[in-house]
Amino acid sequence: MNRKSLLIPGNLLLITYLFISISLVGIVSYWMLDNMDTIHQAADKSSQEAASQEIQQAINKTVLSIKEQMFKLKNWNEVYQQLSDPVYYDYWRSNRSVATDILSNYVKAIELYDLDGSSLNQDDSNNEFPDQISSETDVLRVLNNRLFYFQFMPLHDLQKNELKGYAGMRIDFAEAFMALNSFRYVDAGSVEFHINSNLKTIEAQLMNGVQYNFIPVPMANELEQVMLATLFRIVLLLIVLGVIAYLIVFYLFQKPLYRLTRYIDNFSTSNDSNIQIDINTLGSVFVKEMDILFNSFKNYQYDLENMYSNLNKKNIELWRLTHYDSLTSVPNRRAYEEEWKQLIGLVQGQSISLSVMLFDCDHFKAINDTYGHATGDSVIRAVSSCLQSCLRKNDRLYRLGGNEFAIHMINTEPDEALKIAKACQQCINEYPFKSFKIKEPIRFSIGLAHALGTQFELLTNLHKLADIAMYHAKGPGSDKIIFYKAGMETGAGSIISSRYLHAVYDAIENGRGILLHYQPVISFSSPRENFCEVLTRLEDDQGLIMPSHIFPVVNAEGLDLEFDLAILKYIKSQFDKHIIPENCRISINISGASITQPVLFDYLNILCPYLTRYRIILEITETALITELHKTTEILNELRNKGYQVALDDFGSGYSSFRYLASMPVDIVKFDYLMVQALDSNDTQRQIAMDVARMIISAGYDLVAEGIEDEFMLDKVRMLGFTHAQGFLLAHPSSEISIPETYTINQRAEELTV
Amino acid sequence: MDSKLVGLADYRPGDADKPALLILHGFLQTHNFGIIKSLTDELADNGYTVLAPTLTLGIDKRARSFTCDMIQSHKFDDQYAELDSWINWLKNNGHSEIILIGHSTGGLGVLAYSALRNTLSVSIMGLIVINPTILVTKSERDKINKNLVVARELLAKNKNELGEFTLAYCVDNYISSPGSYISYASITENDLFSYFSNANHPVINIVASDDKLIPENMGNKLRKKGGNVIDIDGANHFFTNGHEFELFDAVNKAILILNKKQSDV
Repeated sequence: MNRKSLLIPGNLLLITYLFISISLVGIVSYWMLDNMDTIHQAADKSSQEAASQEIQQAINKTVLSIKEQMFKLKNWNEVYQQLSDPVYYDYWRSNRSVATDILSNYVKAIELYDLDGSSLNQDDSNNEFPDQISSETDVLRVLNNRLFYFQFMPLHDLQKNELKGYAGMRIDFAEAFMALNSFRYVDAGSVEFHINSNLKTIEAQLMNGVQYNFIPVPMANELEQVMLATLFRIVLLLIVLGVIAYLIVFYLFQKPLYRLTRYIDNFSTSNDSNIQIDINTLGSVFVKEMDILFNSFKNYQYDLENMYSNLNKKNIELWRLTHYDSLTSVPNRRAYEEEWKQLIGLVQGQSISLSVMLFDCDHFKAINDTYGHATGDSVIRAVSSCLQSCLRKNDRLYRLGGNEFAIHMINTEPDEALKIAKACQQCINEYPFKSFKIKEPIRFSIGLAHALGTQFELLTNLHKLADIAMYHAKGPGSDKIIFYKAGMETGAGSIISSRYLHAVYDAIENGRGILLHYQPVISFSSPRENFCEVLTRLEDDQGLIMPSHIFPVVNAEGLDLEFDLAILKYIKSQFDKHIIPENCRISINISGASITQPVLFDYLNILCPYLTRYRIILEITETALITELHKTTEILNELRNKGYQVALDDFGSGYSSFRYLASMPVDIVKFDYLMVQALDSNDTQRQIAMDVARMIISAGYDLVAEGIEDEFMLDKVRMLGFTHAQGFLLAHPSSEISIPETYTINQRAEELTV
Repeated sequence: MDSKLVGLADYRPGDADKPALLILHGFLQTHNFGIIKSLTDELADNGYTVLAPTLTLGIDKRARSFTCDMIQSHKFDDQYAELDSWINWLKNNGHSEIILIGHSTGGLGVLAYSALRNTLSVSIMGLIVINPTILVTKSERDKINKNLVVARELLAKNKNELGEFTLAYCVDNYISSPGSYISYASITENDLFSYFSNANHPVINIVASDDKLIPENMGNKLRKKGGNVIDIDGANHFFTNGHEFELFDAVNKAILILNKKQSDV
C-alpha cells in the first residue's frame, strides 16, 4: 500500500482522538450508570423484600394490637355495667365507649350484644354493626372509602367464666396500621388496602390486598447520588481536560502545523517562479520544539530560496549554454530547432512570409588545419559579428555548428532576403581576415528559401530547401548566393548533405548503416607484420556513402567522438561475432578530436580484453598532436602500455613536425599520399621526402607508404626502406577482411609481375 | 343494689383479739385510693383485721375509680346494702367486733349507715370518721341547686335520661341519671350533722385543719354537737405532705378509744 495513503490529517486525528475520548467517557459513564442501576436494582429488590416483610409484620402487629384492644374492652368493667344495666347503653356507646383512654383512638365504635347475640343498641338504625350476631367472625369492610376491621368477641365473667354477652369493635384499620407501626422500608403514605374477601383469614385478606411503595434503601440512593455526582464530576473534569488538551494541541501544535502545511502547500503549488513567499505569515508559536521546527523550516526555506536562486541562475546559464554558442554568443542549433518549431506554429496558416538563410564557409577545415583552431575560431567570431551587423532588428542569427550559420527572417519577401544575403556576403568579403594572418580569401556559400505560412509543405521543409540551395551555391562556378527554386533538389548532389547527415546520425544513434572495409597494409619483410586498415563506409537505401562524404559531415557537426565510438562499438560486435578473425592485426582510425576524450579512453579500456586475440593499431592524424600534445602523449602512452599500437596517419599532410614525432609515443608512421608522390618528383621535395623517410626509419619506426598504385612507386619506397606499403597496387579495400599472412610485398610483387 | 353485682375488697386478716376494721373510700374512689391504701397497710401492719371494700357503684367487680363522665346510675343509699354485705361477710368470717372507718364521703356514708341502717346483728364498736363531707361544695352550690331542680323535674316527668350535672369536683360533666344525682346532691351539711347526731354507734372524728373540701370549721361544729374530734393541724383533705403519719396515729388512737369504750360498756 502506498505509504502516503496511510497518512492521516492532523485535524482528523485530533477529532478522532476527541471522538474516541468522548466515546470512552461515554462508555465508562454508561458502564458506571449500568452498574449503579444494577446496584440500585439489587438495593430495590432488597428494599422490596424488606418492605414486604415489614408490611407483613405491620399487619400482624396491627391485627394483634386490635385483638389486644378487644382484650382491654373485655377487662373494662363498664362494659359489664352496660351488659347488666343497659339503660344508658346508647349514651355509653355513643359518648363513653370510645371517649376514654382505655381504648386506642383507632377504635372508632363499640357494640355490645346480649347473650342472644342481639345488639343492645335498639334505636340506632344507622348502625354499621349488625343487629344480630350469630358467630364471632371478624370481618373487614370498607365504609366511606375507609377500611374498617370489625372484631367480635364473647364477654365472660372474669372469675366465673360465665358468658355475659358479646362485644363488637369497629377499628379504622388504616389508622391503626399507621398508628401502630413505623416504617423504614415502606412509604407509609402509599399504603392502601383493596380487600378481597374471598380469602379465608383477615391476615391473608390484608396481605393480599395491601398496596404500597417501598422506600429505596437510603444508602443506595445516597451511594447512587454520590456515584452520580462523582461520575458527573469525572465526566466534567474529563471534558474540561479534553477541551483544554484539544485547545493546547490545537493552538500550540495543530494550528501552527496547519499554517505550516498550508504555507508549504501554497509554496509548492505556487506557479510563480518567484519563490518569495513571506515566511512571517506563519505567525508565532509558543512551544519550544515548534519554534525550533519553524526556525528550521525558515532556515530551510532561506537555504531553499538561495538554492533555488542559484539553480535559477544555473538554469539560465545552462539554458544559455545549451541555446547559445559559446564561441559567437549567438543562438545554437538547439535554439534554432526550438525556435523554428515555435516559428512554424506562429506563421502556419498565416499569410506571413518566412525566409531562411543558411551560411557555410567553404574549405573551413583547411583553414582550421592550416592556421589552427584558434584562427578558425576567430574567423567564425568575425563572420558571426559581420552577419549580425547586417541583420535587421527582427532577424535571428544562429550558429548551427562548425562553420554553418542560419538566419530566420519573418515578413521578408525573397527580394529583401536576397538583399540581406548580399549585404552579408559583402560584409564577409570585405572583412579584413588578413589580420588573422590568413592569406586565403574566406568565402561563404549562402542558400536561401522562402515560403508563406499558408504553404505548409514548403514551410516545414524550408530548412531543407535552404540547405539544398546552399549546396548548390557550393557547387563549382556557382554563384555563392542561391535562392531555392522548385526542382533544384533533383539535381546531382543536391540532397547529399541531408542524406549524409541522416546516415551519420543513424549510425551514431542506432548503429545502423555502418559498413567496414578492410585494406591490407603489407610488410616488405614479414607476413606477420601485415595488417589491415579498417575503412569506414555508411550504407543507406540509396547506396554506399564514402568517407569523403562522411567525415565532412562528422567534422561539420562536431560528431567526431560520437562517430568514433559508434565505429568502435561496431568493431567490437564484429569481434564478438568472429567476423573479424582472431589474431588479425587491424588498424582503426581515431580522430584527433576524440583521442583526448575520456569517454573514448574508457571504451578503449573496455576493448582491452580483445587485445589478447587481436593486435590493434590506433591510427591518429598528426592534427591531434598539434592541438593537445602533452595530453595526447600521456593517453597514447597508457594505451600502448595496455597493448595497443599507435600509428601516426597522414604524416606530411599538415604541420609535420619532427619535434612532435620525436616526442609522440607512436609505433608506426604512415606517409601521406602526397609525401609518397613527392618521392617521384625531381625537385627539392623529393630529396626532403626521402630524407624524412630515412630519418623515420632510422629512428626505429615502422614506415608505411600510402597510395602505392604502381610498381615504380613500390620499388621506390622499397628502396628507401619503407617497412610497409598500402595502395591499390597491392589490394583494394574490401568488405571481406583478407590479411595476407603468408607473403610479403616482395612475394606479392613477384606474383604481380608473373 | 343489684344482687347480681359483685364487689371487690382488700381484706387483711389480723389478730383475732383485735377488732376488725372496715375502711370505706370516698366519692367515686376504690379501696386502692392513696390514703385508703396507706391506712389499710398501716392498720394491717398493726395487727388489725382490715377490710377495705370498693363500692360497686353499679359496676360488677369495679376495680377502677369512677370518672365524672362515666354513667352514674348508682345512688347514695346503694352503699347501705353493700356495707351490710361486707359487715355480714366479716361476721361470717369470725369478726364480731367491727369498727367502721370512713374517709370523706366514706365518712358521710358510715355516719348515714350508722344513723339510718343499723339493723345488723353484729357488734359495731364505733365509727372513725375522717374529714367527713358532703358533695355540695360551696363554690358550686348554686349550680348544684339548679341541677337538682332540673333533675327533679326530669324525675317528675318520669324521664330517666342522663344529664350533665355538677357535683363535687365534677363540674358540668357529671353524667348521671336524675335519681342518682338527686341522691347525692340533695345531701346537705345539716344532713351530715344529723347523721352524726343520730349515729347509733360511738363516733370519733378526725378532722384536718387545712381541709378545704369539707364544710368550714367542721371540727368545732362537730364538737358543738358533742362530738369527739381529733384535729390534725395543717393537714389537707388527703393528708399529704407528711400528715399521713399523724392520721395513722390519730386512727390508732381512735381505735384504742373505741376499744376502750367497748370494754367500758
